[in-house]
Amino acid sequence: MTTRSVEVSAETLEDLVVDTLSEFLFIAETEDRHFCGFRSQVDGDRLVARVEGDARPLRRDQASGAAIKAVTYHELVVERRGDEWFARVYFDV
Amino acid sequence: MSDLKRVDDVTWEIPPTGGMRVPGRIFASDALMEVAAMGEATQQVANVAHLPGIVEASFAMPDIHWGYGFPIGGVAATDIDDGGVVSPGGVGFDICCGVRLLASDLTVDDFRRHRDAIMANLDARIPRGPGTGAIAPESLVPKVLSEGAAAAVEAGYGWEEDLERCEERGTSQGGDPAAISEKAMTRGRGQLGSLGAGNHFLEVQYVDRVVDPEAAEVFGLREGAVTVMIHCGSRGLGHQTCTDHLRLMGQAMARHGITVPDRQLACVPVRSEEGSDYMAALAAASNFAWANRHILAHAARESFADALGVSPRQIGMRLVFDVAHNLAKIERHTVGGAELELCVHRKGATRAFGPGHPALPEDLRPVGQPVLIPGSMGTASWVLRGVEGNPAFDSAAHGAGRVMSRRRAKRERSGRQVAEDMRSEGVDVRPGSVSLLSEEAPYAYKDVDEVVRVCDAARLAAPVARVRPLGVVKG
Repeated sequence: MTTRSVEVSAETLEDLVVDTLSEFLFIAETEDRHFCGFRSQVDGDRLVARVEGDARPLRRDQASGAAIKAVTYHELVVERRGDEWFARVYFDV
Repeated sequence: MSDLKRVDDVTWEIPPTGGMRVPGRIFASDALMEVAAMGEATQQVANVAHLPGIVEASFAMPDIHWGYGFPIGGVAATDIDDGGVVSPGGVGFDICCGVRLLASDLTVDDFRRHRDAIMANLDARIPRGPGTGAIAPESLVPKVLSEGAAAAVEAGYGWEEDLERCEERGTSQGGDPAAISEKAMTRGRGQLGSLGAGNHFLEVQYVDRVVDPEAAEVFGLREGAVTVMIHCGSRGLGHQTCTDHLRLMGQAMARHGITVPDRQLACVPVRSEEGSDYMAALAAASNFAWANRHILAHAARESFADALGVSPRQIGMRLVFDVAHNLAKIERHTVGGAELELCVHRKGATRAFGPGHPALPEDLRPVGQPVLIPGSMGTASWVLRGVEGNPAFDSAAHGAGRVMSRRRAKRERSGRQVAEDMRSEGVDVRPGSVSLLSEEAPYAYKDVDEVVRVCDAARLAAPVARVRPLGVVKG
C-alpha cells in the first residue's frame, strides 16, 4: 500500500470537491489502483485542498462495485450542516 | 415534475414554462412513459429546453431515462447562427460511444461447433474492465485522434471497405490532438482497443427474425446468420475531455451571459473560443472512439477466424454499420421552412438518416441508414433503418434504457446467479467481473421490443431485423 497526495485549488467549494475527486480518479485509472482511506485538510480562505489517499493495486476480479469513470456536477451539493460538512456527488459509472 | 400533455399514442409534450425556450417532446408509450416519469427524466427534458439557441423542441427518445443534466435519450439542436450553444453534458462523458455490427456467413450450428474456441479467443483477446489494457500501441493514439478509424485501417486493423459502413466514414473532421489535455492523453494512451466497463460489451448473436427483407438484404443480414455486436466508446480519454470542458464552460458561462438550471448543462455558443476548442476536442475524442471499435472488431474477426482455422474474409465478418449515440454534430435541417445550420446533440440517441440522404454510401441510400439498438444482455437487439419524415432531427433510440438502478439490480440476484440464468438460456457469458454482472442483468432494462415498436410508430426508424445473443463478453 502506498500513500498518494494531491493538492487542488479552485474558485468554489463545488469545484474543489469535483477537482479533488477527479485527481484521485485519474491516479486510480492510469496506475490501476484503488483508494481505501483518505485524510483531508481544506484551507477555506484560499480554497485549497490537500488530500492523502491510501492506494492499493486494483484486483479487477475482486471488484465489488462499478468502476467510476467520471465525477459529475449533476445536482452537486457541498454545504455546512451544523458542525459538519455535507457533500453529495454523483459519479458516472 | 413538469406538466405532460398527450399529443398522440406515442408522443407527449411539455408546454414551455418559465425559462423554457421551446416545448419538450417525448416519444413513449404508456408503459415506457411510466418508467420515464418515475425519475427526473421528464424534468430534465424541460431543463434542456432552456439552452440558448435551441430550436423546435427538446426531444426524448423512447428509451429515455434519468441522466446527468441531460436525460439519456435526449436530442437538442441549437441554431449556431443565432447564438446556439454546444454543451459537453449534451454529448455525455463517453464521447462518441456507439455500436457496431458485423455479419458473418456462419450459421448458429457452425458457431456451436466452435463455440468454446471462439469464446476462449474473445475472452483472451478483448481487453476489458476499468483502467489500462489495450490492443493497439500507444504510438498510434496521436494519429488516431486526427484520422479516426482510417488511421486504424492504415495500421493494419480492419479493412478499407469498412470505412464506407461507418457513420462519418469513421473520421470526425477537425480532430486536433493538441485540443486534448495531457491528462486525457495519459488516460487514453493505454486504452486504444479496449471495451471498458459498465454496460459495454461484445456480443455474439444470430439473426432470429427479419421483418424487412429488402433492407436486410441491403444490410447483408439473413435469418440464422451469426453476427457480432460491439458497444463501447472513447474510454478515459473521452471522459477526461468532457470533464475538462465542463469545468471550463462552467466558468465561461457568466462571460457569455448564460444561466442553466443544472451545472451539468454548462454550455457556450458554438461560435466562441471555448466552443471552438470543445468542438476540436470532441472531434479528436470521437476519432478515438471510431478507431477503438474498429480495432476491437479486428480482434473479433481474428478470434473467429483462428478458432475455425480460416481467414476472416472466408467467413464474411462484413461490417454492417457503425453508429455513435453520444455526439454533437453540425448538420443542416429545415426548421419552420428555413434551412438552418444546427449543432445537434444526441446523448443516448442514434443518428437515423432516411433513404436518399447524401451522407449515406450509395448502396444504403435506397433503404436508409442502419440504426443499431442493443437490448439488455440475454434478451435481444434490433437493427432498424432511418425513414423519411423523422420528427426529431433524424434521431432514434439507442438501447433498451435502464428501468432499475445498479444497486437494486444487484439486490435482485447475484452475478453468479445471473451468469447461470444466461447459460441455461444457451448464452455463454465471459464477464470481466462476475460480481458486477447482476448490475447489467436483463431485468434491469426496459423491454427493447417495446422501444422499437415506439420508434416505428413515431416514425423515428423502422425495424429491419432482430438478433439474439449466443455469447457475451462483458466489460
